[in-house]
Amino acid sequence: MANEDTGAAALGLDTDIIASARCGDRNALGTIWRALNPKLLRFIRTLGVQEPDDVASQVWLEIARNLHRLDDDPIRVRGLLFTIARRRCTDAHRRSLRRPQQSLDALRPTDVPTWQPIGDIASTLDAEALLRRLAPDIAELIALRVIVGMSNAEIAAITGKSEGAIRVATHRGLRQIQALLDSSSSEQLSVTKPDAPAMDQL
Amino acid sequence: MTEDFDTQGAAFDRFLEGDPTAVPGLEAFDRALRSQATAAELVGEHTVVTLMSAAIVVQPASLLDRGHIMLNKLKTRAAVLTFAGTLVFGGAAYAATATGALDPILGNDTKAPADTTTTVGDTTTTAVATPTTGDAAPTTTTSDTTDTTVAGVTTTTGDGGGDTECDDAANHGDYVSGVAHDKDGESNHGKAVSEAAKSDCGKESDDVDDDSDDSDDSDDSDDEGSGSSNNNSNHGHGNDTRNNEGNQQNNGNHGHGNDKRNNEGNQQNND
Repeated sequence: MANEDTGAAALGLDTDIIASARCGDRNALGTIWRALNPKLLRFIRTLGVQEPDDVASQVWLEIARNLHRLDDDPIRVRGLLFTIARRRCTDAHRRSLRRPQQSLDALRPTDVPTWQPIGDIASTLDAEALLRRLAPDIAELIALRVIVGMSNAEIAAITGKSEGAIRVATHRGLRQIQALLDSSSSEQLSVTKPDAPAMDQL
Repeated sequence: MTEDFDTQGAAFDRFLEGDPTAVPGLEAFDRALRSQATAAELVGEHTVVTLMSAAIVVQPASLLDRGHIMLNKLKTRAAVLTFAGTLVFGGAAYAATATGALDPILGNDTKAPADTTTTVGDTTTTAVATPTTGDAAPTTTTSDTTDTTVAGVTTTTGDGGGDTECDDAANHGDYVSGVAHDKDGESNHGKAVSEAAKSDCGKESDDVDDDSDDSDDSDDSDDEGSGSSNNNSNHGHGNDTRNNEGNQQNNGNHGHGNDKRNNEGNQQNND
């Protein structure tokens, strides 16, 4: 309970804001959006969705439609937000598999190795790019843990995995990130990105 | 090795809890992911909030209306189910009562239609004239009147046993045989034979006394045979109505007579 209060305070939201948002208060909705939209975009980008802004807009609209199902707890609103985000990302991946759209950056020669030396992390985009080098399910767990700030219990409720499995997977991912960062000067170590999305829900 | 692994795991846990210095080398990574929102990430707030507000304002009203409709539907369904249940169970109970299916439950052993009245009135008069002179055969005059009203139909049965002369008979059996073979009274043939058999024609005076004693015995048989009084196959030569009202309805059967020796007593019991 103390963790939930801490999480809600870290979000900058309280029950009054959620209650006002449920009544359609634009200021309250704007407050919620400003508190959660950056995390939502980073999470969606980490999962490798091609149009993260479009997916984020769909998620917010769906939240508005389902806000009446929740109480005034900000933690639950955040949980619903990222639950919907995971599903919309899955839909986006499936859609991209049905109608693949290849960017010009992807048209590179095939003899180029899939690993590249990791330089200094100067921005959020660099950190997200580093996460995308991991397996998608591990990258998702680390994003929820670090970017969103969820506990293992909240992630377990969203993903359906056990807290122990989440802890082990996040530790493995952090170890891989450490290795990637340490290999910036070494050419031997590489963590290859899977060719196809390996998310469990795909 | 295990201790190193546990130490590293604890460091990862602290890192994930928000301590960027717990894992050396990941400070920049943590700082980048937990950084403040950029301007690019806050573009489009007005559009999204407007759409959300529109979606929220419309949604609660529709939900309230839907809930109201659901409540009305539930009330309507409850009322319809109650009415249908009343019809079904009420109809079943009425049908069971009308067919008498509930008689074993309700304890009604006999059931008579409400609009059916059965009246049985029997009058039997037997006059025995003992001859004062010993040569003459005994003269018996039998007069029976039976009124039976069943379901509004009244049947009056008169005396049909007087066609055969008692004087022509050598004894009582001959007299009864003569009556039985007499074809004149076709409609009341069985009753006439029965009356002839019960008459004292051709009997000695002692036999008449014995008959009176037998009548006392027949009272005993009434008590003993009450349980089988409803067994009316009626093929025999007598239809014993001494203790059975329902047998009155079987007067037209093939039986050759009706025994009404105790009908007077039954009248008293019926009263």
